[in-house]
Amino acid sequence: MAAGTKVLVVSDANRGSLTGAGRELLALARAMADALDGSVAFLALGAAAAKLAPEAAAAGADEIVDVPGADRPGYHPELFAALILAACRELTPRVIVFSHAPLGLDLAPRVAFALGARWATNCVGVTVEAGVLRCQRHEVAGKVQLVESIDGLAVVTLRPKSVDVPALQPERRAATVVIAAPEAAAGEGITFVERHQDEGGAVAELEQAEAIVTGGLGMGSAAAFDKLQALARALGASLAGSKQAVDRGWISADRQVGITGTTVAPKLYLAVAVSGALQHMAGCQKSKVIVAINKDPEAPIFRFARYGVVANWEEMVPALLAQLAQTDS
Amino acid sequence: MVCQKLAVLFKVVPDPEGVFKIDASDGVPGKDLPQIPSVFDENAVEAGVLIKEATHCKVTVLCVGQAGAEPMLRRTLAMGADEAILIEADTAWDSLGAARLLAAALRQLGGFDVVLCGREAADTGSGLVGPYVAQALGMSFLTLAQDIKLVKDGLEVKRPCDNGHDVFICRPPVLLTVTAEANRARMPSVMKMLKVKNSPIRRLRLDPPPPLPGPAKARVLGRSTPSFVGQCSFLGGASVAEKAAALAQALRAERGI
Repeated sequence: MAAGTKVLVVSDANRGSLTGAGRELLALARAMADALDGSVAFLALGAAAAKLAPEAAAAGADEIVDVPGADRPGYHPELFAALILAACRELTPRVIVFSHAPLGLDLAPRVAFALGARWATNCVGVTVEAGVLRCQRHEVAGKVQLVESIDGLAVVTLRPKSVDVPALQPERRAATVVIAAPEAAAGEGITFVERHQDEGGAVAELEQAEAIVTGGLGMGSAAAFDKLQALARALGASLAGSKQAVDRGWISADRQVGITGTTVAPKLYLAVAVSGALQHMAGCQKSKVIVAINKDPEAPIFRFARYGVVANWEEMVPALLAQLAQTDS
Repeated sequence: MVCQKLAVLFKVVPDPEGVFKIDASDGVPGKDLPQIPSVFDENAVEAGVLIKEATHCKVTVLCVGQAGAEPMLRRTLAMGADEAILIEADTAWDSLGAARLLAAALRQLGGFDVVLCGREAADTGSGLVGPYVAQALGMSFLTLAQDIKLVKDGLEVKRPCDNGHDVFICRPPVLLTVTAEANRARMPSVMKMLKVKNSPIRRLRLDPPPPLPGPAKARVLGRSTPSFVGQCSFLGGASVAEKAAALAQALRAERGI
């Protein structure tokens, strides 16, 4: 397939509105399309696909792809891949971008493999220079940074919280491109059964939080998280936990930060008794300021932190609360 | 579900918690670090052994790497795998190259009902090998399996979605990539470790692997290792109260309170 100058954004429509990750994809796609002298097409997948169109236009899309089946509730890997490929046949994009999140991580390799495109995984930024893509990627959860160039057809998965999002332009309009449904794939090997949604809205809260207080394995109990909650309240922050804390039931799974939890980028990330294992840091290292309280001066978290206090949390959290109360009064 | 042959794709990586330096001569990172199993591949081995316990299938562990991987492959035998195979090649930072060799090996060995691997390697973090191997072999695949149960028609798999999780039925032959949530990899007993101490690790001579259909190569322009070390200001103090006061001041400045 000859590569054109379009950038196709594939976004998750599960929440019924454009997510922060979706806006990042559109911001990146807009910049790439402008550099390629091309345009941005937008394809939403999931039950609320049709609802995302006006927001997508305001966030940078020129064309909204309308293909039957895109609004099927849940996740249907083989069908959704076929829909994207049908859109690619029609639109001949140069780049197809997904979020480096569950939907994109499963669909990107299907699309890249089928198109013979290069999949640049785990990108934190992509620029276009003289028609060639320069993809900045993370390896070893950001310990190694890689730049690779792709001069042909590319599939990009962008890590959430990597790109600054400009304000929406509500006056922007997008054209609708109607694409015929592809022929049904013969016998799917993977059958979707059901979707379970977290009702509390904790994921969205963490994604948008300006400040987050996170507890790790060193907290030691669920009761300890009650004390951390008091600190979070004093700082006007959201409460989160590491995978270790979630595994032990000290905090709910929808509040997990890390490679399999939510990726966050608050202005302030206060990590209490979190060792700073890479799988955790992958979910929070874009935070503006990381502050760590840990009794082990050698804990890896201090490599990422701007401020560090070497102390037992049992002593430090009450002392800190007392200090914060003093300033409030 | 009937499962007779199961394969686990297993990678050995430079310890991700170590300090990565890039070898000036060839630009390869982490050469001086100790080698350890890639964490999610241990979850994949565990998931494979759990399926073996329910179906009595044969579990084969396949690794592309160097001879130094042998002790870690023996450990997978102590965990319950039946056979470990090493394909001697250096594809450490080349996910496509590893996928090509593993696809060729699985094709040569033939007839796997289930193939498991970690969600991504702890070094490259790309998550490419599983999906590309499956597609090269024409198998179904699903990434990010958080929970795997045997049911009548196949495997019932829980997988994260935005703001929750989905449940799928995956019919064999299928490849799944496994996350850390799926299980806690077992620690083999000393007795089991002693039993496999001299177990042979089979070497597989591959017929020339066919090029993967499709995926074009990109050009690596450069790698770097940004230093995080030394940026942290440690807030000291003679007492906990003093440290807390210094911390409160820093937090006030950052939060504007």
